[in-house]
Amino acid sequence: MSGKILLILSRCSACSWLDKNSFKDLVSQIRLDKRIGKIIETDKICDSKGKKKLKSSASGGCDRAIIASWCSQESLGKIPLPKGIDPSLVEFVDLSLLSPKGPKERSSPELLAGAVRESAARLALSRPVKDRRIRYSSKFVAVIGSSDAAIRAARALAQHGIPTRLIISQKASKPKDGNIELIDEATINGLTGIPGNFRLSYRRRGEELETDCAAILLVGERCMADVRPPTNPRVRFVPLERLEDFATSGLRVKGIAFLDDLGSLASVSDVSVPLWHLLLESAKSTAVAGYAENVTVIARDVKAAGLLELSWKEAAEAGVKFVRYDDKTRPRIDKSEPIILVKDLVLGETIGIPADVVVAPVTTRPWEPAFVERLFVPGDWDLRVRSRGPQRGLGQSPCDGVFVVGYAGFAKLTDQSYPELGATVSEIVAFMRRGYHIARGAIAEIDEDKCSACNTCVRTCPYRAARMNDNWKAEIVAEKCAGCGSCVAVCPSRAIELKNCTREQIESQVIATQEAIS
Amino acid sequence: MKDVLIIGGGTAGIGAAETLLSLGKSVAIVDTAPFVGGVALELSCKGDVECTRCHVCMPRDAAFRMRSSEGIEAYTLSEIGSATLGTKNISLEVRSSPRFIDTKKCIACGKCIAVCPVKGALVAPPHGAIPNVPYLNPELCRHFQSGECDLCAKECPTNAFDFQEKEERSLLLARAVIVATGMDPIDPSGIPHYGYGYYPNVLSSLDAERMIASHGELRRPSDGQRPGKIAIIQCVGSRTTKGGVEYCSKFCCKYAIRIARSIIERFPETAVDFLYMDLRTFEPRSEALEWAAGKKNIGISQGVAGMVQESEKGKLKVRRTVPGDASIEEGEYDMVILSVGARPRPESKVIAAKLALPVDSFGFISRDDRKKGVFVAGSCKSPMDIEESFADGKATAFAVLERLGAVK
Repeated sequence: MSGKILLILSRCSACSWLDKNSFKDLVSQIRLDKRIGKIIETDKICDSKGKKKLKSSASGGCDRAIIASWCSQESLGKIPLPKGIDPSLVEFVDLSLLSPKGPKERSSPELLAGAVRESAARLALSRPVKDRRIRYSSKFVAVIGSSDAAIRAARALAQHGIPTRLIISQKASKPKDGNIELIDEATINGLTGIPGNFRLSYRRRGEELETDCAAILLVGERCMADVRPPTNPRVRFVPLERLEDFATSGLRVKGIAFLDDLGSLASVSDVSVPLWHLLLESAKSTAVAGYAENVTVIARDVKAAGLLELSWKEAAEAGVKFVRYDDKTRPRIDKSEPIILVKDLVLGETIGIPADVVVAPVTTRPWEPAFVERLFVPGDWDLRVRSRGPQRGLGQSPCDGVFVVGYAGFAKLTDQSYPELGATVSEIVAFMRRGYHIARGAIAEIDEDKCSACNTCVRTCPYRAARMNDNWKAEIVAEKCAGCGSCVAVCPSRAIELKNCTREQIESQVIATQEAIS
Repeated sequence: MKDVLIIGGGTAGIGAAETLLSLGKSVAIVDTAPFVGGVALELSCKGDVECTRCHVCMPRDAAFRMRSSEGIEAYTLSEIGSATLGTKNISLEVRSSPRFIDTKKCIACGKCIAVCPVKGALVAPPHGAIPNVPYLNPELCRHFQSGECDLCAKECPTNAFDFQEKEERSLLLARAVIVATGMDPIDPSGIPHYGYGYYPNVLSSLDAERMIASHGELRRPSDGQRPGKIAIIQCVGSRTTKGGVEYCSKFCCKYAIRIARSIIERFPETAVDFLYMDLRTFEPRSEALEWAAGKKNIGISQGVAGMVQESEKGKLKVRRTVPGDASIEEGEYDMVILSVGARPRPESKVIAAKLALPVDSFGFISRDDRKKGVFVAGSCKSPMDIEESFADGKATAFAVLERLGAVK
């Protein structure tokens, strides 16, 4: 390795504002830098002619290159490199960006040369990196969740030739599709391995089992909200799904109330959201059928979003009353009478609503804490696997190969989660078709002598690539590391460095910047 | 012959195109706007301190990624003429207005914009726009108004300007069509009691977002001062029969609460009052309330805003109902932001008629015709936010792939 840099400098006479003399100035300024071994001057590199010329030129003993032009890397496309240049050690410098006040402002040759030298200072200390491709060893996708959406997802994947393992917590009958393997009555314990080769451990009928999968899709399910049961024996609780059987039984009651919250332990936020359309429909049909004298929907907000607004109006016309309550004083059931006491938001006073039957609120089921903690960074994710950080793409979690959709993220309207499901299934198909996982070459490295085993990096890594080894030192799983640098920033003993962005490189770049300014 | 033709290059159209391209299909996008990208191009990122998941970057970044892809062809400033539905193919006539700049020659160096003497006659392409070429507006351009100026054409290093360009008609053949015409923001000047268009400091949420996107902050249009107290009024043009639409537009709560958050995070001295009917954000509601709870300068309260009037110079009086005692209260603000909803575009109806699709009373396309290869995606079906619309585009693209027989 010579460590010398080849500079490919494009004149870009069409786009640049440098005349002949100032271009000469620029070249002579750059020549002062000892790190640059050879300079190739070309007229243009954006067209095929210029690229051809570049390919045939000699590298002059250099093994790394800087390509400086008046174009962005994206619009240049693929640039053929002279022989002997390592493709991972190439940097692009877009000189057109160096005009701080827009295209009218013309930056001086000194400033442009400074930018090239800064880049050279960093590049001279770079080490070659190579991305590795690791083939998937499993051909299965594990779909976790027992909602209707999970079964749909499994079916869609199976239709497209991807064998699927459907993991459900309840008892279920085997689906007809041969590509779907059903694992029912299973609770997930944890997940290990790398994308394309995950090992999912679960407990089924008292047995600890393991299965392999290339990707996992968390779908989630809904359940009755975690509410305090009514202390009043004259009030009955009915789940929303079972309301219809109850209504057709011939019984007539004085009042029925649909609640979005009844002193639930969870936040009010997502309770009943998944079922608003169902709730409005059944409130309307109950009112029309005359099953109860009073039909009331007690809600913090009437979440009839979008075209559901029309169903809300229809329900109101059919005789359903809507009562909004205040956040601070939640509704409660009276101790002796079958009445719900609500502080009405509009009137500002507490009113009693007759209700013999209360339709229980519905929410999404949270995941096992141990499972979420193994999957993602604790604290950044709650038990409904909702990230607080930015979303990478639809249905994607920071962990490659782990997809999150529907109720698994947060409670949403059912018609909102089906498009999301379709989109995510297409992402999974693309993921499975790729067939390999890319292990990045530019990864974090830990200096074991400096490591104090404080566990900070393990807690921080968004890709779950850091872990503690048997000697009580941190280590990075190279296949999972994406080279984001989060651990480098937080490490209190400064034991971690990125392989291709070392402190030495940063310091030398700072020095080069200072030289350019002075 | 293309695999799929997408009518409307908004959020849903881009989502669909991205999925189709990633699975190796060729795509043509037809859009009436000068750039493919839709409303998302004009909106501002609302995460200053941390990402608040407004999802504005999602379609923009997707468009940026596929800009250099070879399988995509964009017909901007174009309209759909006649359509013929065959058994295997669909042929559509596309009429493209002249752009006057050759998209193949232009390198987007920006020199023409720098020399242009008329403000707004040449518009730089926003981030993520397809094609990455400036837009020449013939209604403002001096060359078309007085016929003298050709500064931009002289400055252009690649001779991309052609003022003689004429309207072009092309016939496109495709195996499937995705209709993703989307929605139009409601013009609040149709609701006179909010005073939009009459008082300069009453902005629509789209105006506010454009201002934040281009200048980085909100200033009062009347005097250029930073507003001290802002009212954000929800459900303007939605959930009303007067000057608006009857349904709920679904996305206004989501973006407006994020605008409020981004204003306060950037300028903690600003106070924001957020007046709503029902908070219909579908991510956990507590997230918005939790964030607002500890802060004194944001008031999130339920109450319908009735009227906006100017009191002394510049101050705006907002009358609203007070929850709790059903009385009416007046507040004074420096600026009022009207959180507007959206209605289906009038083009949707025309295109639906050409492709024999049913349309409901609001103008939403109520059903697609998958057997004939006509699919519908995004907010021309029902109101959707960016995330949902993007997801719906992708999901529809996947359904199209099934029809094309590409996925076994």
